Amino acid sequence: MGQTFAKLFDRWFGNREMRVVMLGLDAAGKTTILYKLHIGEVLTTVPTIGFNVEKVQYKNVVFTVWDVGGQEKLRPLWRHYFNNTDGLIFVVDSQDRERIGKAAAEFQAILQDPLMLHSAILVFANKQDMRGCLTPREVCEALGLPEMRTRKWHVQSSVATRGEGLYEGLDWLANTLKSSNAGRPMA
Amino acid sequence: MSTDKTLRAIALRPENKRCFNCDALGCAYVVPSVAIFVCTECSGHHMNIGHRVKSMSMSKFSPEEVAALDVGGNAAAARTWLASWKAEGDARKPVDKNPRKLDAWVRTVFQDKRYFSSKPLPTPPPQASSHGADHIPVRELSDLLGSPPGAVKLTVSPTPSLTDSPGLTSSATVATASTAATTTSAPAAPLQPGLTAAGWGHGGHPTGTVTPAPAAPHAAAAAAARPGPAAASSAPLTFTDNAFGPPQPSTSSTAAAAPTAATPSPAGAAAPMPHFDPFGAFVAAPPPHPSAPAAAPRAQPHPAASSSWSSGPAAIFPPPSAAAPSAMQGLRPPSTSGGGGGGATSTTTAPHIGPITVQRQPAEAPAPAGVTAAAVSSVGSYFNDDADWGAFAAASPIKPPPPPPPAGAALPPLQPPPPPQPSNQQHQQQQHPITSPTATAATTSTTATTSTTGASAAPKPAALKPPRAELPSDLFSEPVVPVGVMAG
Repeated sequence: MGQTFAKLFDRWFGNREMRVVMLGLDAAGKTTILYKLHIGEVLTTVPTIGFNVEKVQYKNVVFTVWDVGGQEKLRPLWRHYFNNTDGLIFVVDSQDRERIGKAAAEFQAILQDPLMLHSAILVFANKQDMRGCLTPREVCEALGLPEMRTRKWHVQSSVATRGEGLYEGLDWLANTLKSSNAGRPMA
Repeated sequence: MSTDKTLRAIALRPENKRCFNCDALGCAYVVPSVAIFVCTECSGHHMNIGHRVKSMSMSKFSPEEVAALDVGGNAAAARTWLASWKAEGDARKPVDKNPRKLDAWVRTVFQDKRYFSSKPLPTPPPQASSHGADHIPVRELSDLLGSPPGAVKLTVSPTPSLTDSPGLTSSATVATASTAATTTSAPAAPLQPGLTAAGWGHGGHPTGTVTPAPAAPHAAAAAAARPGPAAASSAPLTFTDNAFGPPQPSTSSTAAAAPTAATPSPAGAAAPMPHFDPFGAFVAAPPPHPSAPAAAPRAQPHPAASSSWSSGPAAIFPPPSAAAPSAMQGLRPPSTSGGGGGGATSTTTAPHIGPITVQRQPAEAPAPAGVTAAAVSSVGSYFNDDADWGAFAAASPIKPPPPPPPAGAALPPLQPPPPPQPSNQQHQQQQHPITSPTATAATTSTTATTSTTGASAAPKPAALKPPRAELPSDLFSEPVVPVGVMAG
């Protein structure tokens, strides 16, 4: 009996862990987002070769965010990070109209992966402070999200350098995690 | 020759071996928009000012990009972007890789275009007669691109020839006459490091002798005189390769300027580099045209920056065909939004909570009344609020502070814009996005409306502790992909 209550208590109030992989084309702002979330600072980042991983706590969810480099020759390696992943953060450079098609292709390729069938999809339409950028709706449509019936997805506009929208996105991820009972209680 | 190989050959040219900004050896990145080769650190600063940066090993390059780099490169870029730049008197190159100086330099050169000249200085004519050890065959590129052989001019310009200094000529002649002066890759002459150090302000000695003449273009004269004094006269902008030269990269400028350049004096070699900060003055006392305004547009708060689209809980339902995105919240007056969650606004075309919820903050003007009930019924008008965004996007970069919100708006008031930020944004203390007092109203209210019920008041993540503790070992149980093998 006591254990049952403890379990319930943990489930509602205890920290939960969520493994998130953050992908996107190069120079979309993934590393900037990661460190803005992690230390609250905007670092001068360099193109990521390999990955960065940090833990970010939001509410009672500890996100383990894997930020994987997005350059062309690194993209085939993304799938190695899919295993055991609860959520996908896909970052789009909203200003880069030329490559939105390429971003969409990569995005769809990720979603086709059998390991990602059950992950929540958070899309950051980043760099919304830039003039002439794609609106979140345009990003949403370019990625083909409206046709996606069976997935849980969310497009969040963001300005990583100012931190706008980032926690809103995490908020959605956390709530989705809660509702779907994904994630694991912290050991 | 494949594109990769061609690119590598171009990168191995002596003028491309060193970073355009900081002279560091080993350029791993390319800035295609300006066709230069930069080091890892500088690539980050180029990204900061909006340049796209590509890794030479981890990106793919199109033949067009390679062709642009072939005719471009650091030397050609120096002729345009550093046309009026002088080693003495102007900003020093951030050779010490101080991030602030790197940032200031990149912004000054590429954003403010302080030394930019639309008509580049004359290119030294190519010398195809003899090939040195460093000769890189680039003719293959022309074959690759289908142009007739010989159409691609060998624009390997070892000497950007920004300045023509007689004072340097004499000494540099001694330095270069013997070895590599006859090759197209003359700047790789091992005796150049001293001169380069002087040109880039390595030592920082106040040597009046190195003062270059005001950029006297030597088009034909240089052609005749090269590869002798002319090649050396523009030494301040040569790109040398210290790795293959004598190990005195810190030779002082005095030694370089002296006629005995080949034998740097010990005093010169002991130039107190760490104590002299030539670029510091530049940073401390910024040039008359500040770079802050250039950064200002990005610092403007965007009233409509935070909006979100979500699948919502109803995404699993077969959504309505055209008007799937139906729930609009946040802005809408309660009368039109049905008061409750977005689902309550359901019209005939949108029976469910749509898979998309839209929240948009008020733009500068109050939300137009047109985006109300009618907007829910059709997709086209539903997205009318994008017009606000477009209007904003077309606004001038220096945007006046947003006007106060309309009276009676049920939204938290917009905060005044943050103070103008200095150019070094990354060094500014960034406040927590949520706990920050300058967090815009957009941030908070969007949070509240992220969920389709609108009921989650989005607790502030005040307890965001930087989880510095080591990650559990199982995090790393995944096979770490050997990235290096992909480099080929």
